[in-house]
Amino acid sequence: MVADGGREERFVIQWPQDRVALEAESGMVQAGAAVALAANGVVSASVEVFRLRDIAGNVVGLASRSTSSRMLAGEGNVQGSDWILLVPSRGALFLTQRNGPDVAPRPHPARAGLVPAADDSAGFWSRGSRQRITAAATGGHGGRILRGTDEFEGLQGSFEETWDLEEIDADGITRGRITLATRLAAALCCVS
Amino acid sequence: MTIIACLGVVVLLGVGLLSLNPIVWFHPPPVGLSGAVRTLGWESGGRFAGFPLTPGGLLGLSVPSDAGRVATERGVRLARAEAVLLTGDTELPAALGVRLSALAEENSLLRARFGIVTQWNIVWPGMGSVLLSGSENLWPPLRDGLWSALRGRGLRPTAVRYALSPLPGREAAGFALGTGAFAEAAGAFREEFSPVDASAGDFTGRRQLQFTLE
Repeated sequence: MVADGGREERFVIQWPQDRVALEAESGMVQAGAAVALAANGVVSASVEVFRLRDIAGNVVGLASRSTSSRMLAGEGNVQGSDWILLVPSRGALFLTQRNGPDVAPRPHPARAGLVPAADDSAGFWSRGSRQRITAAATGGHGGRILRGTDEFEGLQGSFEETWDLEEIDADGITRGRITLATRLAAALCCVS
Repeated sequence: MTIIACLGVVVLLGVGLLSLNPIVWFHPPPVGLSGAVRTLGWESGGRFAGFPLTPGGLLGLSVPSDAGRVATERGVRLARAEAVLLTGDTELPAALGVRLSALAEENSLLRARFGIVTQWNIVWPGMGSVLLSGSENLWPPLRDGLWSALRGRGLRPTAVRYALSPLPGREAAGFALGTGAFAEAAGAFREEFSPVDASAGDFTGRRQLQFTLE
């Protein structure tokens, strides 16, 4: 619980072990365990799926992240990500954010094809081992929790996505942690 | 021999009673869509992770192969993820969709509830995205499939198309909101299932996602 009556909850994803392998069908391209839409090597949208853990490390559900460019009022075409957090025993949360760094899949200097941004040790992590993915909350486009179902019904709020690089092995394979820090409160519409 | 015959009669009676279950009369109808209905289609070619959308999978009897297993942990053992290319709308480009689903906790064959809860995230590159939340009761195709199986024709639902109703007690499928060009989007959606003969017993088959944007 936090001072305003809401609550904070953190969800964690460990990569690569929590990645759920998706298989590209006709019209998509493979990007490691993720799939994407791309033209001339430029990715326009991608989807990743992960096992979702609670802060104690227990697998509690599934999470998907889609990343794409989108038209935002007053900001033009910017990159953003949507998250679905599905905890079968509790319900689902729908999140959306404008991204700070570019997290679209990209070509890897040493591997064929596209890889998720977190796997790009040479490029993505050159700025440091901790990356806040959620852009600063300018114009109301930071990390927003749009809606929840079941136990999360009637809740809205904000969240932050952070990636922590834990290891790069000799082959350039990365290992790390994604943290989704959510801050939930009753939606204004539903407060009696 | 007598025991086998008795068991056969019991199975036949059981399936008959389940199929004629009057509770189904009180189930909600498929979500009604008014206005301009948009239709996006896809067909599952088996590209999913998690439990198969078959009677065995929905009853928790089909254990996914290692390649398809999402996780062995209890909380997500019967969850399913698939990424699909959604096409067919003449005014919108092809979209990338991800669908997360889980077995509905309220499933009960005796109450004709046999379904999943579904969450969709659909992305139109350069435009925006929508997030959808709903559920689907697969009881009608299961019932028809069981009758078909009893007649020796395999588990083949007989209707050409099933408009899937939400599970009783759950709210109608709707938009959890959108982003970008769909930021003000609201509306409802439903899924339709068309059995594919080549994959009898698979409730994914050929699918249509129909929705209206308000």
